[in-house]
Amino acid sequence: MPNSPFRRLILAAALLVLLASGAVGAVLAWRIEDAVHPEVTAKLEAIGRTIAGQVGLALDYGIPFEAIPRMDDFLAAMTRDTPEIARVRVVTSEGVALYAVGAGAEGAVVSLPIPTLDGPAGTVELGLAAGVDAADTAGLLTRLIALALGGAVVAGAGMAAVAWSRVIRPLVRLRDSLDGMAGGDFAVEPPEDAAAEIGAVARQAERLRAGVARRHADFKVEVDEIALAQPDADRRADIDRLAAQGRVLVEAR
Amino acid sequence: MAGERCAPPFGLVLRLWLAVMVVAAVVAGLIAEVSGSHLRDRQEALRHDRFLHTARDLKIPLEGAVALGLPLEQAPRVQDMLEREHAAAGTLSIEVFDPQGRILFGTDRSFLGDLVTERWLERAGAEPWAAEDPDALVIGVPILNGFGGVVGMVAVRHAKAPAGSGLTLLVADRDSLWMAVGGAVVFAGLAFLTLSRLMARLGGDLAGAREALARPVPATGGGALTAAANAAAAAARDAHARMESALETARKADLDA
Repeated sequence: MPNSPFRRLILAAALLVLLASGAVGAVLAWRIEDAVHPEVTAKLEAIGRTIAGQVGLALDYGIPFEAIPRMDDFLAAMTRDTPEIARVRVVTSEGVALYAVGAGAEGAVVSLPIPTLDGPAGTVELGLAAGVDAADTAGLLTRLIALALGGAVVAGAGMAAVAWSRVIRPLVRLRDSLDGMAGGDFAVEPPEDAAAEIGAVARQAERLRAGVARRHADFKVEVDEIALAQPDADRRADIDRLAAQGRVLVEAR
Repeated sequence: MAGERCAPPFGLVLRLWLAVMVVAAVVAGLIAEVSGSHLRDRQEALRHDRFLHTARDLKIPLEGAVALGLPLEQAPRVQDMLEREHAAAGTLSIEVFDPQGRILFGTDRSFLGDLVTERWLERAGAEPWAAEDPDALVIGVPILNGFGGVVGMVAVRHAKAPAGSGLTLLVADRDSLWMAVGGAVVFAGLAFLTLSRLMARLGGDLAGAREALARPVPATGGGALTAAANAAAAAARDAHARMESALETARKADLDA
């Protein structure tokens, strides 16, 4: 088998595995985002409840809504280390935003009522950071790409091993046998363990080789008998010369 | 003949295709497992953060009561507060216990007065602390008095992230299942076609070689293998002819003698 188709086979196997890995990885990354989203929302709700509870407590103590002390610090502390939050706003029942932190790009908004003894007094709105999972997904994708590339290398190596054992080696042995026969050497046997189509050609080559070997054995017996039947050495030598003309190499030297 | 030679050697293609499919399946499985483990880690980190907020939320009024000089077990409205938070946050249970592990307040009232497991107490030194029960994860925070002394703990038990493998992500619903099955079928077909195409020339050469070895006339077309088979068949014919000729001459010589 020429080298270039062999290389193309290895390359094709590697690319096919890379393609399969890429497709599986892309689908999984998409599924993961879907599966994580409810957890992110629940986390934001938990933080929102904390903020709403504290604001409600301040209002119950009679602190005016617009004058709750250190609210910005409180909101900043609540949202620190929470990259999922783009922005927090504390909004009155009339829709006036009295406090806000953050200015990131905002996706969905989680809204929670501020509970007071007199009923809801407004809402806390938390904006989900858009693309919050980008860094996380990038980390996952890096690992998946490394796996896919490793898989492609394994596929290429696997294909090389399978092609070598199942295709190239039997082909080389078959070719050696055919070349030997072409040169008059019928002692080189084609590969017996070759599979599929190579095996079929090898069996046919073996039939051809065995046919010559059988015929040669018969030929040898008959010329030997004729030589022995000759009355003198000169005639026996003539028959031996004739035998040499028909002799073929059928056994390993 | 020409058409026959273009046909790929399907037996060989099938063996190579199986090798590609096995490697692709193993790599896809690994990718699914890594993704599944990543998802579980991410979900658990999010749940940890979320229930930590719940625990800290409860800690503030409890510390407020202690700061006013009340013993922790006499803090007002704690039971109601725990039950309200339990319902709102979706926890499995919430317990408040003293430094000896005795449960003072809890969403399951039947456990009040019982001792928490040793495992919780062993881990309760950190702020926050975490423990794992057979069926749940636990996050706790200490309740401190005005001097920084630990007077109790708030422990929030919550469900673990679903323990499905990455493959279950791929077949989680009917659409995903169909997509996975369809993708696998398309991939299998594409792989078979690609390998068939790459092996077509070898198929033609092998067919030519078979023809050369089977028939008494040389095969046309094919490649190096067909040429070698033509030469081998010609040499075999020549060997037979030489043996016949030599034998014929020997027989004649014998008769003459």
